[in-house]
Amino acid sequence: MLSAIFFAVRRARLRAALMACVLLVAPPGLRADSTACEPSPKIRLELETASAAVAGAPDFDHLIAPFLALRRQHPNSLQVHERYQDTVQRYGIEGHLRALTEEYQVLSIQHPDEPMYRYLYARSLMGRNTASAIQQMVALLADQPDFSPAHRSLAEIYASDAFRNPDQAKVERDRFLALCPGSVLAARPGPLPEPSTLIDQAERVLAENGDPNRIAALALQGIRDDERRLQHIRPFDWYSVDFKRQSQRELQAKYWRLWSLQVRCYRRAGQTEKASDLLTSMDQRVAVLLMGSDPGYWDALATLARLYEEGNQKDLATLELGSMQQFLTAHPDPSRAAQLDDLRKRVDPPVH
Amino acid sequence: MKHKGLLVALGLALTLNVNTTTLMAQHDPGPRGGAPGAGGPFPNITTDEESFFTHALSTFMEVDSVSGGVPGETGSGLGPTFNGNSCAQCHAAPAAGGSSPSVNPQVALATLDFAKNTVPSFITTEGPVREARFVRNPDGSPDGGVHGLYTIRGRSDAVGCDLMQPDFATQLANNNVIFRIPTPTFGLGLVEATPDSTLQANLAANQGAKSQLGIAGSLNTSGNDGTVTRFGWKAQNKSLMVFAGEAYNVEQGVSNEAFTNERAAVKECVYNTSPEDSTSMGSATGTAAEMSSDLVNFAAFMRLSAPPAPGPSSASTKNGASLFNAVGCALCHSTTLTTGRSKVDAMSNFTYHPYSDFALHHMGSGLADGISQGAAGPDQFRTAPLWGVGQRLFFLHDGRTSDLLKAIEAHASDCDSQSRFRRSSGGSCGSEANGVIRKFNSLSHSQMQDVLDFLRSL
Repeated sequence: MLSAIFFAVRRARLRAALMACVLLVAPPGLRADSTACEPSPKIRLELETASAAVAGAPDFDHLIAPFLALRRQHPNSLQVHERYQDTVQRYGIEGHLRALTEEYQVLSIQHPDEPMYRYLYARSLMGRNTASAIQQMVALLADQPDFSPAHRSLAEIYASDAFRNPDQAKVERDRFLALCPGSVLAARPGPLPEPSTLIDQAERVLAENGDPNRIAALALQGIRDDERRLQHIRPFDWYSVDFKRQSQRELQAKYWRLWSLQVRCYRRAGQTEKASDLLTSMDQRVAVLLMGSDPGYWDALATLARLYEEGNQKDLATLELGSMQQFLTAHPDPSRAAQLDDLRKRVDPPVH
Repeated sequence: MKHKGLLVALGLALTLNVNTTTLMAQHDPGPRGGAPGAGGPFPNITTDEESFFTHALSTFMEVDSVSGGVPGETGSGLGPTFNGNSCAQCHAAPAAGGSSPSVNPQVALATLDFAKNTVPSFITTEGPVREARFVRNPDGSPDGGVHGLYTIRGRSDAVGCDLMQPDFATQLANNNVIFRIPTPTFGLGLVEATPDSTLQANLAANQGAKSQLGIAGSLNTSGNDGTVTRFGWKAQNKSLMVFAGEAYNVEQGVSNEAFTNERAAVKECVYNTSPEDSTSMGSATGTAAEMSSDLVNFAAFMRLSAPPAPGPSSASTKNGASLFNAVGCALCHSTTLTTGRSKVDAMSNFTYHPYSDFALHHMGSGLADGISQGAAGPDQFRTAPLWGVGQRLFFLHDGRTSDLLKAIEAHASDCDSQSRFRRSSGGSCGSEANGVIRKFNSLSHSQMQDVLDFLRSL
């Protein structure tokens, strides 16, 4: 029994000594972090704690602070760097993303022999300049074929909608899983927040004769939430140009709803001058849309016609209807013709 | 001592009396009414050039938001700091491309799209559009740069940005702020197409008369190639591209191909890739103007715009024109210059009437702003071109007056008590216009009125 224990201890020592030798002769990248596949239990726990701590953080600085602290604490932990990068990419805006890339570019220059920093710089480009990220990871793997994180990232990129390449994805995934059995791949890009429904809520509150201040606050918050959402779409090449345009158009439509709500709230509060000023500025915006052949032009005209009609400003409503008719003549469309007809009946009801 | 006090009082009374009499006797007739004398394309340009101008004008009028997503504010890149959200917002009167409009749009701009700016005390509804420059840095070293009036903080399209406005009240209290108003941009293609040698020869002309009146002058030059620079209040900008690029970056906060860096680029307030304005290199096709950057369009708009057309002349304006020359105004406000060969054929070897020599002159302590730009020192300014002055609403670099007569009188200025802006050469100081203003003041009231009428006809 004792001899069995003795041999077991010797075997363990021998294994430890062998491991130490392996680490000493291993490429520098693997030396930086011996657990490249998954975080150590200690790091995993610390990452989970940091994630829990930032739930409901009021701003980006508060959100990123625990991950910055962890990075200072574990400068050689690949997973800590990765989580830091993911957090910046998920919650940051262009300025943060740019700073992230610049920071890791500097680190890769400062550590030319460390594959981890080469990799992290390339990774910071994922979703921003993904073609360049691919190029740099491929170059890194040419030097360090078993650098598993690069295989994982490439597998994730090739599995994304924007850079879909099923064959390459399989090659990289197989290679990664061979090096890191049991590890999992992430879906790229991460989930986007859903478009805000606060404007709908504000419209409901208005319909129920709710508090104008609450209506305004809800509507504005809805716009802000969607602006923030757009900031997480625009800088990334994960998303197509069409999707970006569509998201922007949806947000622009919400701006018209926001202003309409404001006009109606002002009117309810008897602040007709404020309502009138806002309508004037909306009219000016419509003129700009016309100059730029903006697809939102028609809807903006309809919005204004409706608002003028509600305010019993028949002359102004009729002007908007005239512009709509002009547009319709140039761009015939049966559903728009019906919409115009309906608006005309509201502005100038038929006498029975 | 008693006598001395009496003399001072008497002198003061006389001065007041003279000034009151002067002000009552002749007056600025005010901005000329009628159709704007500017704003259209240069005559006789080609159809292609005119198309470019038309598109460029719409770009000049484009309103910027932070990301270009707010309806009606389709340009992108506004901020983080800014003074305006469109070129034409400030270059507005009498037409797009001009100078400050009668109602200052910077008041409404402070809170546009839910922005949380306070309107600084020097921005008023009836006052001129202004930019603010700080004279010194906190450590006492020269600053001279533009400090944006506003930030995008609070705007619905700038979520997360908490950049505060500069503390203008403190800077004003420390006498550390100077102002500039927009310079009109009409006819600048002619200015750009005027050879350096022409400007040099024009400055060297009439040396005898200039010396007699204490006028010297020098041309500002580029630190890069030593050639003449000519745009801006201190003639600090070399070309219309540089002029537009600087303004786009400084006034609207839009980084561009000439000024590639975002100003005040705190991470939390940067929403676009830099430069925010650039030439389209994508697969989309369009006209040259459509594919060109805003910057190229801005420069093209200024380049291809017609110079201001003067109003009808009268006996008074004709006499005023003669007096303008006779008293020596025209020694700096040169009536006539001729372009060289231009890429725009219609502008080649074209004689025009800018009423400027585009040179720098010392203007003394009364106008000195303490800012140096290139070779232009603290009290030096480019001779303001007077074409179109008939429809201008605000005068002098800081828009301190709407009264042309006061603007003329402000040309006379001594050294300040500290000789802070004493000229380095020759030891003389004060405004180079002192001699001319003395002659102007010696005119009869009716003659002065003729000069004013003449100026308002330009």
